[in-house]
Amino acid sequence: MADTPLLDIRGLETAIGSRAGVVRAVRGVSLRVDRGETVGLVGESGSGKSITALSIARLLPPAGRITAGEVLLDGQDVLRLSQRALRAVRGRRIGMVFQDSMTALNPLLPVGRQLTEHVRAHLGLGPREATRRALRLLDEVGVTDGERRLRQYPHQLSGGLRQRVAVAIALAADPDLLIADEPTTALDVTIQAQILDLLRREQRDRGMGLLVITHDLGVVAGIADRVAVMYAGRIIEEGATDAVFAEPAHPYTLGLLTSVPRLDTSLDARLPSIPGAPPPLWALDAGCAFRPRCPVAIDRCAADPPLSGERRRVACHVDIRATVP
Amino acid sequence: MTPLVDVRDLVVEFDVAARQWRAGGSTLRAVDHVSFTIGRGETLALVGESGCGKTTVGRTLVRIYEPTSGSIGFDGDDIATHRGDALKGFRRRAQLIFQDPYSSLNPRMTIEEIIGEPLRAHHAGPRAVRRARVRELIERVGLPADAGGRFPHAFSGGQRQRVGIARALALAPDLIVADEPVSALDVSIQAQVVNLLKELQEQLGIALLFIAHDLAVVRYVAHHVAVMHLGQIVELGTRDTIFGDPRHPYTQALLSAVPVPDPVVERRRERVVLRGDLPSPVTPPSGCRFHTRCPMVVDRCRTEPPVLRDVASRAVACHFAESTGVGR
Repeated sequence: MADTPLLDIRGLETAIGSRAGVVRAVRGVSLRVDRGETVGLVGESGSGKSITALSIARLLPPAGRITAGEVLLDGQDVLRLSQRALRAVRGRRIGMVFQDSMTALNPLLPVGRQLTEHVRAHLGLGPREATRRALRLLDEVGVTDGERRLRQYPHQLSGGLRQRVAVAIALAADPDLLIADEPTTALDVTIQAQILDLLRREQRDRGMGLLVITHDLGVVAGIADRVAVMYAGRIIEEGATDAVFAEPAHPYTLGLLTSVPRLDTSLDARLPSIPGAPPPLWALDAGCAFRPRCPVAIDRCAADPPLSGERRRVACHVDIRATVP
Repeated sequence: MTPLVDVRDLVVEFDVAARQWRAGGSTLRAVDHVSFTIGRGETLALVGESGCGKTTVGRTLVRIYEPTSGSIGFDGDDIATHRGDALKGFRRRAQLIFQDPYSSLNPRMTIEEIIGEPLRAHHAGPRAVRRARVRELIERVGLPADAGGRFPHAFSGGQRQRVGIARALALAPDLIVADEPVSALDVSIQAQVVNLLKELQEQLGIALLFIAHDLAVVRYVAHHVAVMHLGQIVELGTRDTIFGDPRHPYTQALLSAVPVPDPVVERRRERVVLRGDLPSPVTPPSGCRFHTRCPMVVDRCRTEPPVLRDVASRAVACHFAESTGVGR
């Protein structure tokens, strides 16, 4: 079919072994990312957003295990690939950028080596060609003085430069999909603005799919075409970024949006907040996980609502759009 | 009325250790002639990026770090050189709240012991009185009544931060230095802790030095804002002045870089995106220290360091502060 999505996650379930027993960190996540589209996956600590991202490329820590679902890349299930076929997908078709560029890069190798190694392994280029390509990539991601940078080690670069190098490596083999897991969380705001500009530009110029995982609603607002909000291992709302921000349909999305301090709103005496804290994942019951903190919870919420809808998907028994002015 | 805190020309230097393969060490001036005041019951926010010296100012203010020079006025006394009992007396009146609610609580102590420790250390009354005070504090910061006998691991990040706040309040201090108190917390929890801090500060009349990098949070809690860049204050004024009409190009860039959680606003925004990185504080640029990244730089900025001066009802260190207003 012509409109096979680039990435189509269906009913993904990921479990993590912990001291408290096996925890269902991702509980039936379905999400699509099309070519040329940026999707933001937002949630707070422990919501399962990073585990979802790691599951896509099968990069889970040893304690993690995907127990159900499909991750279709152009219709092909990544979860069924042999290790050998998987290596051709990781880095080649799916590029990844992580939060901490210090640990994402090898501290013992000059960054040039890490870039060219990637290019040679995936594109089969010779050493000279690989170096040429590495220089072009560095230039593309805004690293000046490339010849010198190639010889430097990660610790010799600033956090912003390291993240640019990490983006260059992720883009080296022209991936169809770039997954950026909290790409700017460790950076200062002025550097964050630079890296977001870079990601926006690369996504547009290359027409690739971009999945940005973040806790920062401001980051999502500035970069994503669509947004999916996670809570306690589930997507609870998903839709066009403009629509979700303008009129959130899930009480958690609404709560999150109103509790972010903003620069451009009038100052009320108190910042609205959501009472309580997210539930520990080992203590979930069969009901909606947000119910204990929810201002509009009803009896029906004791049964977990399914994520339903077409262009806007919402997992809530109560449509707050009808009640909130 | 004299302000509670009156810091003048504070300088803090650190020796950067000499490395074997390099000759000699060098001196890092983390704080370079910083002056500010904080009134009783008032919140001054100290903002800036990593490495600007804001944490060093906070820690020096409560005498964890030794000032190299300058004075730290506290309720009329210069406490910069206090020793012994005088220093202990000051410390009783100035407390700290830390960023990381995980590493700042001893995992082997119960919540009651943690909150009661400053009381014990300063011999604040007999045991029964101290226990009553701890119970009162637990309630005051919104922890469950049975929290006292439990250990930190049983609590979430937001609740742990409440423990840190209760500990800081224990001795009824006049000043609290809160170093990034909410930046490790999730958004939905962050708002709870911001509100709690603001509420307590208003009710108890404590002066607060609020150190943060998140300008949107600062806007909610601060009365005055000081913007630091490479060890120096580059702009200082009331909250409404700094947020409504920033004059230093660095303040403008910082504000412009904060993402707004609204896709429509984000698309329309004109951004001042700074190029390049923060220069090294060991070898700061000549002239204005911001000149290497400033979008409005001219030759004068490369040679002549601007002094902090009064322009449009705030202090600002830019040669062109008269004409940098964005107008509203």
